[in-house]
Amino acid sequence: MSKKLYASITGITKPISISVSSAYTNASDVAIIKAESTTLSIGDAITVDMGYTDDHAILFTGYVKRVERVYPDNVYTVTAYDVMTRAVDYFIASTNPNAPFKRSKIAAETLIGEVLALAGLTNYQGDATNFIYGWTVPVEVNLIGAYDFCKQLSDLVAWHLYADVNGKIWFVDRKPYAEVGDTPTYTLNENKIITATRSDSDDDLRNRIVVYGNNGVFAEAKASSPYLPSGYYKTAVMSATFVDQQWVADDAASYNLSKWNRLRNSYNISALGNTNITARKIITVETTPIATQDDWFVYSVEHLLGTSGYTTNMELRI
Amino acid sequence: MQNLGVNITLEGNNINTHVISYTRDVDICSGVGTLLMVVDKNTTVSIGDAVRIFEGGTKVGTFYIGTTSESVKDGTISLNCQDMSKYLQSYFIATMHNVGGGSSKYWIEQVLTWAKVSYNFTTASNGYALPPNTKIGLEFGYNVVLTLCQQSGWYFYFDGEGVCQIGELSTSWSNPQFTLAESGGLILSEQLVSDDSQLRNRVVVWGGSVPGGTTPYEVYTELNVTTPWDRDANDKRTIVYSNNYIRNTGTAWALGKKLLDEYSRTVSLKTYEIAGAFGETIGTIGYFDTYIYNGTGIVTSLSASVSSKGFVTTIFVDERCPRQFGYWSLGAEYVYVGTNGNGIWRKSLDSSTWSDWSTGLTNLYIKDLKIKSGLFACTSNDYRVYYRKIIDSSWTVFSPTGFFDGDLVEYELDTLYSAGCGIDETIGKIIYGFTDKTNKKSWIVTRYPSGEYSITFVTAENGEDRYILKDVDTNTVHTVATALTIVDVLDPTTTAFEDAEGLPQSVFQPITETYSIDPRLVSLGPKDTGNVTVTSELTLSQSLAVHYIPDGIMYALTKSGLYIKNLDTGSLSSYAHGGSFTTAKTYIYPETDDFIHIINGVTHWTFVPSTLTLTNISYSAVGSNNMMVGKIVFHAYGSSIVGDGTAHLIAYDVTTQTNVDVQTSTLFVEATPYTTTSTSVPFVCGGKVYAGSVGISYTDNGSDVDISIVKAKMYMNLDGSSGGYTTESIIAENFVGYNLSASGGASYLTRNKGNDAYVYEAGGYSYAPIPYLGVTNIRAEARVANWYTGGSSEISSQTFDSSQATGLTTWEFAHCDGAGGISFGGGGGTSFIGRTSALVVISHSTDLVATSKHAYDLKGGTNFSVNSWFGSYTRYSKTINEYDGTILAQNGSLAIKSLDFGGNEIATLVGASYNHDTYVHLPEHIIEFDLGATSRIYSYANPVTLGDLPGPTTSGVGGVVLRANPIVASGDTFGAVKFTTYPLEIEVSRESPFVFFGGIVTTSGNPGGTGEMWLSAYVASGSFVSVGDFIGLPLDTMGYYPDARVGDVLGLSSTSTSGWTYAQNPNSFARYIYSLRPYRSIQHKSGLYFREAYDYFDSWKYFEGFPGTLHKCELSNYKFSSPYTFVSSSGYPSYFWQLNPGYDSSFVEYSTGLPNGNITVIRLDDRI
Repeated sequence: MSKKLYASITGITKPISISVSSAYTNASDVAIIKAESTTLSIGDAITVDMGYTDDHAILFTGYVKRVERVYPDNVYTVTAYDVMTRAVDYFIASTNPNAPFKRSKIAAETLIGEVLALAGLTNYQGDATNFIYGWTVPVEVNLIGAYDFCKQLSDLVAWHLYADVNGKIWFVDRKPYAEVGDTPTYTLNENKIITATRSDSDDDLRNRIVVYGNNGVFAEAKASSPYLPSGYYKTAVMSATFVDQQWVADDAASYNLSKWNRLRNSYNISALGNTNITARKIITVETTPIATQDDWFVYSVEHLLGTSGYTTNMELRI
Repeated sequence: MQNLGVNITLEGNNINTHVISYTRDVDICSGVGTLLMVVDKNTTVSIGDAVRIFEGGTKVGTFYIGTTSESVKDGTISLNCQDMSKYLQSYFIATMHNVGGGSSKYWIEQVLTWAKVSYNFTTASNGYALPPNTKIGLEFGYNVVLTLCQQSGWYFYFDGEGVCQIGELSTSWSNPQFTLAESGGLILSEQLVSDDSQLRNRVVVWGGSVPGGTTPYEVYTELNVTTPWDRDANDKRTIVYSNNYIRNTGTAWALGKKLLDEYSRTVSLKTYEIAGAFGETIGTIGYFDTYIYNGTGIVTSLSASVSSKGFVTTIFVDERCPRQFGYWSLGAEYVYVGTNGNGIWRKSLDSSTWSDWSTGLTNLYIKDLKIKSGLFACTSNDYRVYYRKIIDSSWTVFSPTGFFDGDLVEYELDTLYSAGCGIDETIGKIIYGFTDKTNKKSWIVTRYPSGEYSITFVTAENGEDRYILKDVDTNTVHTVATALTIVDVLDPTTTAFEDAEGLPQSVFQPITETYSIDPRLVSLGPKDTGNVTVTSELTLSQSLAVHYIPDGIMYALTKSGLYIKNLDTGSLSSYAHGGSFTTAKTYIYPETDDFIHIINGVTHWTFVPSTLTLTNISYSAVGSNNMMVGKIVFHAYGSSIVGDGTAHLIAYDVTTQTNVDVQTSTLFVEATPYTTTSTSVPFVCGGKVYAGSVGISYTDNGSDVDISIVKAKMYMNLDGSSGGYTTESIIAENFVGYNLSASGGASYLTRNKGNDAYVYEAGGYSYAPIPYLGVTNIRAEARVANWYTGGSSEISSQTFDSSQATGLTTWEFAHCDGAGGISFGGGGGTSFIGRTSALVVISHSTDLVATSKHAYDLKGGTNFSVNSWFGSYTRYSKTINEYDGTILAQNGSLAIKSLDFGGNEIATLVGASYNHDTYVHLPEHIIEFDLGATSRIYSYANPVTLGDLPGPTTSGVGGVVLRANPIVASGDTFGAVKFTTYPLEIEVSRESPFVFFGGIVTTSGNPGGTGEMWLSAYVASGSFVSVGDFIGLPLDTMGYYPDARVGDVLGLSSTSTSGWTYAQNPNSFARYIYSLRPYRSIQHKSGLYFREAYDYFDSWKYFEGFPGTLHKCELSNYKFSSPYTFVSSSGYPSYFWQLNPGYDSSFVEYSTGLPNGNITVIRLDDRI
């Protein structure tokens, strides 16, 4: 039974196609809209509400970053990023080169909050990490993008930093796979799946983590992997001058080893359009010929709406 | 290949028959040209061979083979080639050289010589001098040349002969070298991309370390700007530029400014695919008359592709270069002026010759003019608007149709008036404002590059659609308009009413007969001579409501009585029943277009009746200098009205000395406007003034004009009705000034032709010429006339110089309004009532001549002032603004009439209404209120600044912000984003901020008073007013703002009294607001002032003074550390000054050759 498509986009009345993509690894969600006309211009706030007339949701809010017009096709292409783009755009360069941004004995979540605030992102919530930086030497933040720095802090504790569709920034302990205790919020039936690909890979696997800090602080965490030859280690190196305590380095190495010493189990699915499936959610995928029913973490998702209908492409991790 | 007009040689041999395809790319940002060519396998090629390309007969490049790859399958050989930049890029400077303070040019030459690259400098400059401790070496030659070119503001590229051309890119936006038009049929496709990937609003520049003796320091500077795309104050996008060759802060600042000039905008990249060879090289400026863009642009990249599919050239226009900036120099550019009655004129920046640029204009009265990227738009004082491209030979009138209001009533274009224009330069889109002044409807028309247009009816979000548009403009992100709006319509039949002030709601019931009051000007006099009487007894069972029209305030009181609100305190006066009360409101209307606007000072009202039966309502001005002006309409409301229901209001007409029933549309006229208890001599308008003996003579000795005030004495009757004479001298003698000398009992003003004449008052106060009563007709000029009264001694002689003319006579001075000369009528031995005068601006070269003219054709004039002299040290100024039509100073009946072009009277100030305390503005068209026919009172008040639809706030905080939307689409509604006192003018210099300015001189006496200036975006003490929000600037002493611009200036510093200087070693950057102070006051000079745009607490600083009344100014935008600055002032023709860039420049007058019409706007192309 066919359903009528729905799209309501700020400043666009006749969209030709809409693509809203979000991924665990991306700094920002991205919306790309083709339309016959638009009143949008650079910097405009934009909201994308899409789906079906009887089932739609706001899947994107952000800022217009690019407007392209082509003639004689006379088609506009509008590209927008979510609020995290503010942190991406914000390059920290101290007003006084001799007095850069510095903090001492500051928790990771607090430091992230303060750096994000420099970029005007104050709608932020960070969970407690118990990571404290700047014990002996203040953490100096200068000549680096705000997002890059925050991402560095986030990666060090193996956490996740992202903006939700309401424009709120979250700093949480969210691993890129389904964990014990996760509660699925949606069940994807096989009859809604158009195509699916199941794959496993050791590409992301790291079974040795090395952390370099300041003043000789060094930590190493490693473990054997059943997927690698015995005694063979794939190493990830993390370096941060603001790590000046051994226990911080030790914990960082340990946490990241736990996060990355595993296979990448992926499930790529193209399904009928579904606004319930968004990045970072846990969904249940019913049994298919290539996988039994299980709960999956939505690692990335792309909602496509156009003349071909509405489809949702996703990469799931477990 | 031959058929495509292409020839290719390999080592001098034509290989056309071997070439299968090629793609040639060259871009201005890198200076590198590359060639990818595919030839057949039979072609003999070697690494390093030279390939030369001829397109359309022109050698477009010499490329050297760097890589060859042969495909056995295809039987082809692919050649990767590069121009001579290949050898510069490959050359590694293996030795470290101490540059020893040499110039950039020297070291570029060294490097190019080492790399065996031929070069040619297109500039005579030696470029930036390198710091003594700088070293060059251990890097590739290309990087060194690029860095040194960056610092010197040069670019480089390799020409068709392989010669490295180095220098500034000489550009002239006014003379595009080619036109790419849709109509040419060559365009295959076109694309416009806008993005903020390269938008930066902050730059940090780090240079080298400077030994500096005992205090070495590191060169460092930081510059910030606010752009329309900033999300809020935290949205800082920073460039960090580090260059060890920078050795002082000034250089760092200059580089930082260039970077911001380049990057404080979004990218607006135009890409065109055209058929065949392009024929132009990178760096050329063209005009693009295409669907996606209309305006000038610079070709920054070229890609020529030749294959079996044909020959296609892709040109990229207006790319931003990440590694090169500020590399263009200014070519032959023009400054343009719009005039009243003489169209648009222009002159080259480096010339003194003005030329008429009005071809095609059918209305030469120019109200607004905008120029962006070679696209022009202008509006006139009627409905006609125009556009023009720099490549056009004439203006084209733009006549849209389809003006519908919310009720789908269509309005004809020729019934409307234009109201400003703006250009969105990113695509070349023009917006025009139109307004119907009678019906208070307005539209914004958008004309797109394709020629299509859309019309948007101005409707507010709350449904309000009664606006009279004043001005419109756009900064590509926001479209804003200013307008006069109607606060409310009082409809007596409505069942509920809430006034604009939030006063108690009432239900108005009209009295049985409404009054038809001439709306143009009604002045109510004091009680002794100007009683207003309700002839028929009017008994109100409840209360009386008063509507004071000029203010637009509306009163609805629950108690009986007469009330008025004190607008300064915002509170209602006490119950006025039988008592008196005061309003201190000084009301102002600036140059709105429909009304006579009257400013009243402190007003005291006495409400006589102590009962609810109103039989004799009087108003009186209490104390000196006070009067009541305005239009008063009485409405009784309540359930019962006793009486015959035909209440009439009666005013005393001083001219006819009769009571006037205002119901019959007779004007209220001012009687004696005030009474005085002062012992000083009043000059009473409406009283009788007797000119005693005054002898004035003049001589013209060829170079000087001497004015001699021989004797003067003025007698005046302080009480026009009593007939008693009180003699007082108001004429002083002994005028002393630069060129003055006293001779016997006479005083002399000597004016050197071509120079200014200064006269000062002894007390240190400086005034504009005092309108001493002359009994002869003198036409003189004084470009700056600061008069001095040497004392109060009375001239005893009462001899009247009978040789002089009698009757109303006039002095005329040039530059009269306020700071300049003055024109005035005096008595001629016979009495006259009141006085009238008008100013004309006459040529400064005009000698003194006698004239009896007292009617002046003011077409093209503006700011006609009536100044009266009151007492010894008090001066009053009256200003009459008339942008067109005629002000007739009528003898006998003592009236000032405003006539339209057809000679029809559109307003008359009868009697002494131009009294000392009243500003009367006679805008071009007066529209009557219709009070009688509809029982509706249209109350004009609170002009507002309109913006387009508010969009979602980006901060999540409430409040209204402008939608970041450059397009005003049909059906859009407008949000009132800021209420202002007056409908202001809009100026958006570069991208931001919007500046709203205007107001009027309001104080009685010395010029000055209040004006308004608002910014659309503001950063003050760390807090940020979002783009789209508004904040008022402290007024300081600026008063009325006749014009304003925003410009970037290097290290400008100043004191408030001694003018400005440029700091030699600037360490700060500022974006300044420049504005004019048009009039002279006691404390402050007229002149050009400035203040930092983003420092709320900054104060206005004096920049430069000019003679006359200042009217308009303009600044250049880019490139220069000190911008081109232009100022115009009153004159006949207007005076025009130009300040060239440079620390040691000074303003030079370029008035010769200008037409007589007053300058209404000065413009440079915004791209300059």
